[in-house]
Amino acid sequence: MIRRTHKARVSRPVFDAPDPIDAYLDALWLSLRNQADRNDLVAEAEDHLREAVERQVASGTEPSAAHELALREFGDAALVARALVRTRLHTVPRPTPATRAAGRLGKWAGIAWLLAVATYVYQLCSNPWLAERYLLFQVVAGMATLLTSVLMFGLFARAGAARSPRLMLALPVTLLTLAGNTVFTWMWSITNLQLALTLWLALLECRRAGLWPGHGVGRLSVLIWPLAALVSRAGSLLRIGPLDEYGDYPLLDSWAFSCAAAAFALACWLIGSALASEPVDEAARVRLVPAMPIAVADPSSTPRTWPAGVAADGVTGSAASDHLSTTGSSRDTDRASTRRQPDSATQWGPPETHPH
Amino acid sequence: MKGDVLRGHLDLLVLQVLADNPLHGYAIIDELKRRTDDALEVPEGTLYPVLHRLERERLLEASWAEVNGRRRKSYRLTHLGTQALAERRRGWTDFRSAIDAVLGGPTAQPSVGRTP
Repeated sequence: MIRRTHKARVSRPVFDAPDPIDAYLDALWLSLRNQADRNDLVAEAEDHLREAVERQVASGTEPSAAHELALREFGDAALVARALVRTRLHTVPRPTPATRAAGRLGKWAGIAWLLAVATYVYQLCSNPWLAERYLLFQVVAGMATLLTSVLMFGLFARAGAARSPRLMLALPVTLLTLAGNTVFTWMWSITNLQLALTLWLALLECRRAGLWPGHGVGRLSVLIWPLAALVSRAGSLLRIGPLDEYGDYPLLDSWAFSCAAAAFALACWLIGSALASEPVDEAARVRLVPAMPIAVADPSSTPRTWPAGVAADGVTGSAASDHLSTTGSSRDTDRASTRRQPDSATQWGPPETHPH
Repeated sequence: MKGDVLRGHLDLLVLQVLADNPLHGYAIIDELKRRTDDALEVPEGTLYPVLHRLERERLLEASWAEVNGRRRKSYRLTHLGTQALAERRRGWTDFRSAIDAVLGGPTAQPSVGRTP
């Protein structure tokens, strides 16, 4: 049999009858794009399919019929891949010490937003305008934004959305907001729209995870900054209040920021309190224990015996998979050759006993 | 049994099957069929995502071995998995008792194809 690459399968002539399982596994491999351990997933599928065929043939079924039955029962490659990928996008949603800590910091975010209102009014009251007061306001606003960001990522973590696309979007938006609220604080009506966007993404993840379905405060809190921005813009467009030396009409801008920050402070306090008050799952405590190296597989054909002394809690294949998701596997287009190159950290060799 | 009913209890079934011995995916499906006298047939496309999810939840631990020239991934219960199994068995017992109470007690009707 000639060695086949994914590209070569289409163009080169086939000297042997194509193996339907090979074709299926090729399709599965292609469907599992961007999965660091897809070789492992394909190897597991191959083992299942080949065993199914062997058993069918042993029971008297024609090989071609056995192949067809095994593949039909396993399911469409694209659908199987999608099911596997979908379970990986989200980790298990559960309260952890980290989410509780994020909730406590969220309560501090509420206090920080109230302080932001206070320092905002303080710097407004200065006549002439004092740069030191405005700097104080910037620092407090930046701190409030930072603490709010921690709260939001706590919401993502609580929803088990560690790998969700929404979190990938929220990360750069949060950094922009942080920079904006610290350096360009006067542009709060724009930068805090980003804050609302990140909060909305976090709450969507919570809703997906079935958390706080009736949490009206969370839903309303998303609207605070957009409404305040509208009011601020309306003040400028309708020329409400006195004109300042910069040609702006800051009256509604000031009121909008103050009211929005106070309302947002309350929302952060309530959401943070809810997050901080959840009891921590015992399983999550175990998860904080550093993972131990996975047991080495016995390469013999006899059924593997589990080595004594392996601490079950910390030793999982997923630990190896997580490790590989950061190191990555090579882009190997010849799937047949990659069957001999396992993705997991498990090395072929005699079993080892690992200390607890 | 309808698929949606099975899906809600598949975790419990998988954990129970693995409570005695480590098994690979095909063997788990086989064991479920054997124990239920072919009443339960879990699709492979359903089982493997469940196995991977339970592995990520630290309820199962996986290991690779070479069998018949192929790589085989076997699963076994972790300590957490044992606890989770006990908890879910209790939950199932409570659920079954509640349903039985509504239905008026356990029914003695034999299922189709079985001798009483």
